[in-house]
Amino acid sequence: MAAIDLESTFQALYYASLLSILSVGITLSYMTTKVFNFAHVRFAMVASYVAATIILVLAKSFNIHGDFAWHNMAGMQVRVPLPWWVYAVALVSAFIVGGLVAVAQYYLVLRPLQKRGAGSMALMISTLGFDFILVAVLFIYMTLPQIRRLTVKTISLVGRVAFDSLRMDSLDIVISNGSVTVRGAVILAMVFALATIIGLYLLLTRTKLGVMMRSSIENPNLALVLGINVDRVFAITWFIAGAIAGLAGYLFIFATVYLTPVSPTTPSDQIIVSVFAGSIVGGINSVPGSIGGGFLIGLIEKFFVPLLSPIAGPGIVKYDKVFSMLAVALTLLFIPEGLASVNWRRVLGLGRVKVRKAEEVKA
Amino acid sequence: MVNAVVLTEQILSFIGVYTIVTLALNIKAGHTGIPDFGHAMFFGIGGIVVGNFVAHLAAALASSVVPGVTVHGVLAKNTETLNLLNTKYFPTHPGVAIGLLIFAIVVALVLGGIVGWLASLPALRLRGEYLAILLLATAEAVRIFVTYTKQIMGSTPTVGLSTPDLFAWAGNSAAAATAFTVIMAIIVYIVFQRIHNSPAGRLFRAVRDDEDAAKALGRDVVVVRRDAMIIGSAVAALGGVVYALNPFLGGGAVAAVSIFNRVFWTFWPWALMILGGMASNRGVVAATALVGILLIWPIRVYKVQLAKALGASVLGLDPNSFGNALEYLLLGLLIILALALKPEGIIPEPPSKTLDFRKKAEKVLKEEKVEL
Repeated sequence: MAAIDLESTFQALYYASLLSILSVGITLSYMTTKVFNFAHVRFAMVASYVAATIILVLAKSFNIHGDFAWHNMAGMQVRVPLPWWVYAVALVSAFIVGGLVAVAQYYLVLRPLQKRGAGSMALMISTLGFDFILVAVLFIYMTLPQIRRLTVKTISLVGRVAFDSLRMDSLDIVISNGSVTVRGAVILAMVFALATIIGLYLLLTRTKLGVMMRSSIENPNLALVLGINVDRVFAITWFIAGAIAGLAGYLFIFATVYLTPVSPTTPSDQIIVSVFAGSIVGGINSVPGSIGGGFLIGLIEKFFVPLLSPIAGPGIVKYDKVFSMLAVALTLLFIPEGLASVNWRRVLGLGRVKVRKAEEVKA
Repeated sequence: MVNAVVLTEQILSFIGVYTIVTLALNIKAGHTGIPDFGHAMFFGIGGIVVGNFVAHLAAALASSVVPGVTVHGVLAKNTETLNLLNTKYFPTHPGVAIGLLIFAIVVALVLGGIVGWLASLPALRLRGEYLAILLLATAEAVRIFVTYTKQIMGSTPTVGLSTPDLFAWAGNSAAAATAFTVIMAIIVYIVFQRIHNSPAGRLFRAVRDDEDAAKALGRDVVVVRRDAMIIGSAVAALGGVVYALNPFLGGGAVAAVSIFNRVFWTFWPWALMILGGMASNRGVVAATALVGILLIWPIRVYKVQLAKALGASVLGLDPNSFGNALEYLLLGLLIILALALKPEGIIPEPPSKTLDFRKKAEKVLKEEKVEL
């Protein structure tokens, strides 16, 4: 058998799509505030908890399929698809909540510190502080008795403490024809990644808001002179970044088989560095670059590294993150502006053709 | 309930190890301005030195004395082998234990220094947050590498390796370990205080404040940054040794998930450093002591009682999660409030001590027998 089967290909696609929609948020917030946002994946976690709560509250209050949610969750044996609108409401609220948390960080932490003249390092550390506060909130939220009933005990690696975590794989819609099984979360992840690309492209190039965003990023002072409320435009950018993270948070809860169970600390702590990696490898100042970079890092970790296993032995899979970190190190040392900054025409030798043509024209 | 002596020992151990680790970070980030977000990587080296190297060496020495101890067994039958060593070998061989202790300290300092030097190589090219992210990523890569490499962490990385109890000969080994922790912290503090007041310390801060000026005065900025990384990383590795040998901190085992944990050994030191004051050694000690005595340890030890007293259990919060939540909340608030309200820290960076010219002049004049 090859090292890669269909199942792990789906996992790789899911993971790569997740990383790309998270990386683009890191890039958006970096472009506006010039700060690497450590709390970004935690926005997604908050959205995960909100989405899970909404799904279960709706299922309970509309008495959909009896009281399945309260008893069968922990066993994960019974698979009950819910009506589509339950998922839709949860998705929209994850989107909005993710955005609101990001805006809260912008107005409560970053803006006041910037006004006090804090440097970029101080801002970066303050996002860490906000991240920890969000973890604390999630720890408290998670142990409320009503919420606790949704969770499954999972053994954590650290200190081998049993953690309550959300696992809603059983509510995922699974398409199967007997031999091939596709999880809804995989398709949804790819759809979200595509929608993010197209949506951001249209927003940034075809709308007035997009033009305002780009001009505020390019030159905040000039934009201010032209009557653009830069502060508000940045807040909107943060909302968009957080809301996109919310989409990722929505995906987390349905495919914990692919990643890790959702608890206040996981999977955010595991993947935040990979998300940074995607953003940096793709180009920290390029929106399309970061989407591609996230996808690339995801594929490196879950697709290319397993491909190496026939040569390097099956143990190599565990070292997947080492390779993506290597990618970051190489990128920062040799092309600090990321893959998006590389003049690909020139690298691939396409540029030379043009030059020659120009000379021919002269001649 | 926890008795007062043990509680005191726990608090002292906490303050001791965090003083070492935070002072080590301070020399890099506070004095020289290298944003080291990979600090945990250097700390973890100390843990590996104790859990792996020292245990191997001890087993090699003990294999002819204690039946059942083999060098191979250190990784293959870790718990049994270390148990034999800790109960049958170290209590009767204080000389060997002290020798191993010195070995551990020296090896950790050297290895930490070497890794710090390696990590300083990219520091020549990158600045600011890019360097921070690179060091963070490097630390993550090292953590993953160590976790899954059987030759380093054994086959059960989540459980970790039992640590040799090098103070077993002292009777009360926990008290001895605490004393060792505190003594090491004091030594590190004195050394760093001397560095702070030395020309080297002033040079570190000069590079941080104005690289071009330092260059113009003929200083090699690259060498200065490298030196700061080497010193800071070596001392961080020493902190790892202290942690691994202290039963109140390591709990008799080192696991990759705990010694390479970036929240405990990168972000907490950052928070303590910001709270205490960047480039202020006294501030760092004050912040560590404050957080250790007033907040962290009571939360960790008394979280059940605290949860009850605050009525948290009525809400259905289980004490463990509640304790976790409080710790994270504290860490987050400390960082943000310190940055917003007191960015210079509780004890701001002291002015550089220069030669006391009056004293010097008096001495010279006295030698020449002239009245001032």
